[in-house]
Amino acid sequence: MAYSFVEIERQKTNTIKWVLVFLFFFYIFSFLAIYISAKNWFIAYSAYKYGEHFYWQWFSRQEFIVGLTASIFVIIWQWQVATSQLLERFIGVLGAEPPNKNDSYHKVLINIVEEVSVATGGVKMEPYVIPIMAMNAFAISDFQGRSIIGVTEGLLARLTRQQLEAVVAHEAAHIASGDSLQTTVISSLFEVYNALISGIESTTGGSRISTRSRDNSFSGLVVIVYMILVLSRSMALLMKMFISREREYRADAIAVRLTRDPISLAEALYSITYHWKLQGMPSAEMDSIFTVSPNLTPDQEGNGFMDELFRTHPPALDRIKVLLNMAHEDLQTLVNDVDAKSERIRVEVPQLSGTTDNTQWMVSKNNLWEGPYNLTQIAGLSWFNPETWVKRMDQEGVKLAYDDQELIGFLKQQHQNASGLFCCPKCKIGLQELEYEGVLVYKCPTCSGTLVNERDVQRIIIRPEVGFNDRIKKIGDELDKNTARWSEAKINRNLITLYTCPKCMNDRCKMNRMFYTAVYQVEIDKCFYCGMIWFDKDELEVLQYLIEKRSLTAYDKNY
Amino acid sequence: MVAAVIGAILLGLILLAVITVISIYNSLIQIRVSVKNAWSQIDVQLKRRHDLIPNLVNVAKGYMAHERQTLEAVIKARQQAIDASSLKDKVQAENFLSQTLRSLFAVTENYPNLKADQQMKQLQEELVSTENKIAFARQFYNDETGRYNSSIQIFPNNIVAGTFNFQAQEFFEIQDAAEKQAPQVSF
Repeated sequence: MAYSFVEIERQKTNTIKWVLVFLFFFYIFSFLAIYISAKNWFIAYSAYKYGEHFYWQWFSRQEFIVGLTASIFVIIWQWQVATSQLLERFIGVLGAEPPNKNDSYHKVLINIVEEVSVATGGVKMEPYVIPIMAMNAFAISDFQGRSIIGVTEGLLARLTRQQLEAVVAHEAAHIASGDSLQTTVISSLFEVYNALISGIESTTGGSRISTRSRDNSFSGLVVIVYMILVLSRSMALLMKMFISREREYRADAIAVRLTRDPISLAEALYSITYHWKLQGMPSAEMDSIFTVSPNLTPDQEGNGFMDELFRTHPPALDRIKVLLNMAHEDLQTLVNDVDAKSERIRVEVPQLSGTTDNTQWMVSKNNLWEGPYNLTQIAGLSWFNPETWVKRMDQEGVKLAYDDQELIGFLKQQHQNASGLFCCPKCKIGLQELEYEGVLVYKCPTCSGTLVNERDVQRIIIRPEVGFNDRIKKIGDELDKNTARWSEAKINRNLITLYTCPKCMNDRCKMNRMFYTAVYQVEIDKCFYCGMIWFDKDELEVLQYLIEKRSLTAYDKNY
Repeated sequence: MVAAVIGAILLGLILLAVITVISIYNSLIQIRVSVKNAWSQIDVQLKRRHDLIPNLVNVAKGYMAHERQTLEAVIKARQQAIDASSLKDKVQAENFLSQTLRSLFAVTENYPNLKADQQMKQLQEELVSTENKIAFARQFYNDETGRYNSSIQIFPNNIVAGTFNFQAQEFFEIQDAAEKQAPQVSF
């Protein structure tokens, strides 16, 4: 454990070079094999036709040199393709995006990556977020020294701060030790085949390739190239032999050295392993850049020889055991701790300031008293102005609004708080910014409707921060019972009741009133132009409650 | 003839010695620079903490008028930490500041409104992050210092270190004694 990070840098192995040499021999071999069999087939065919004797022929020196040059060119080309825009391509395939500074969960990630960077003595790393519910993390680097640590939204939402820190430290260890450069480049080299195959399939129409190819000779060539590519793709299996499984143990060890906290890393590994880890990712070639192998469920992680050979990661349980050994703790305690920590203390649904106030006023409109209203309701009255007569319920006497310090102070504050961007589609007054489950939403102070960006709805749903009161639960349960008759469920799409999108403000294209999904029949209004979604009062909370109740718990119980 | 051979061998030995001294000297310089960098990293983080504290106190003031003592202790500790000049004083002052902050956070637990405050949440996250950075920077500094101290003591580096006046570096330690004298928190 006497690693200084400078020393680790020096320990880089020559794996990339070995892979290139391997590919080079593979190309020469396959080139010659195809060439010789084609040539001999042709000779045998003509020998049969003209009744001559058939002699098997090998290749001449010139032909060998042609094969050699061709292989070198293919390798150079493949290298060029694989290493240009290296990180951008990975980010693109994974759909990762830079974190949003206004999102408090993302802010925590940014901070944690900075902290770990300090612990390594200043290794530069950029945080990225994959907007999906799965739990996993990855690290990639390129030759220019740029490194990226990516974390899924699911991981951000479900892990504690310490656990997240441990995962980031593990990824940072890969980056500092140069592992991630290796795995990134090697994965990328083999990714090229995938890209080519899908390219060919899309131009020739996929499976019909073999029937068409009989028509002309050019297609015959395509078939051969296609076959080589398919063969090469199966080499992705072989690639996994080049990537050392020891590197995961080593990265775990370095991570512990960075954070001095083996327990949190063990906990994180445990909760990732027994959750949805990202199965069904675009390509299996990317396995090796992740913390925990995305494509295996815990019971698939066998210990046989073949498993050993073709696996990119050691079984998570083995890694957890090593970590627990460092901390002298046993597995049962760990499991209990993880379960206890995943039961977060829920906070109440956040409300706009002032909505809970009890003081009420009577308000004079055209010499008629209305009310009583509380502060937020007054803020929503469009005709209200400083010269309106008001009467405070808990005081005697009538005065003009601008004489009431509390009232006027609140209204001024409301004016400042208003986002100034959007107006409530129902009440036509300014929506206010509110932080809800870490994301910025726009809430109406009067009708309590909420405007949320479509992508943020996903985030709100996976974050288990807010607890729900009995009223929400009751509405949710009631809705749950009635969903069986979903085909009969009707939505009122009367044009008069439809809302205009507060962002686009386009009267001719109203927001579409729809169910969130056929399964979760919560009515939402969605603008198909900009993707903003309007939730009437309680709808957002009910939706969250329903999804949490049904899908998440059901999934967690299965594993 | 013999003299020439002996001369050549001597010359070779001297050359070897000079090269060894140069390489040892360079490696020592490298580690010393790395230790200095590590220290400046701590400094950056400490400065950041000093900048955050006034904001924190301002936000907290609005909610906890009864905890004047705790808040004043934090401000005083911050001032002491800024004024400290020598490494030893600095270590002591910063450790004391950490304690007062810890007791402040302990007190905030009693004020649910303060805990729910958006600005307070952000500040708290920033402070937690800065505290972690300080801890990690200190850990890195201590690791590097340990490496440096042992490398100037082992043979033959100690000869070179002695000649060129390389001095052992102090560790940034958390004093346990000070830890025990945490200020009394009045509820």
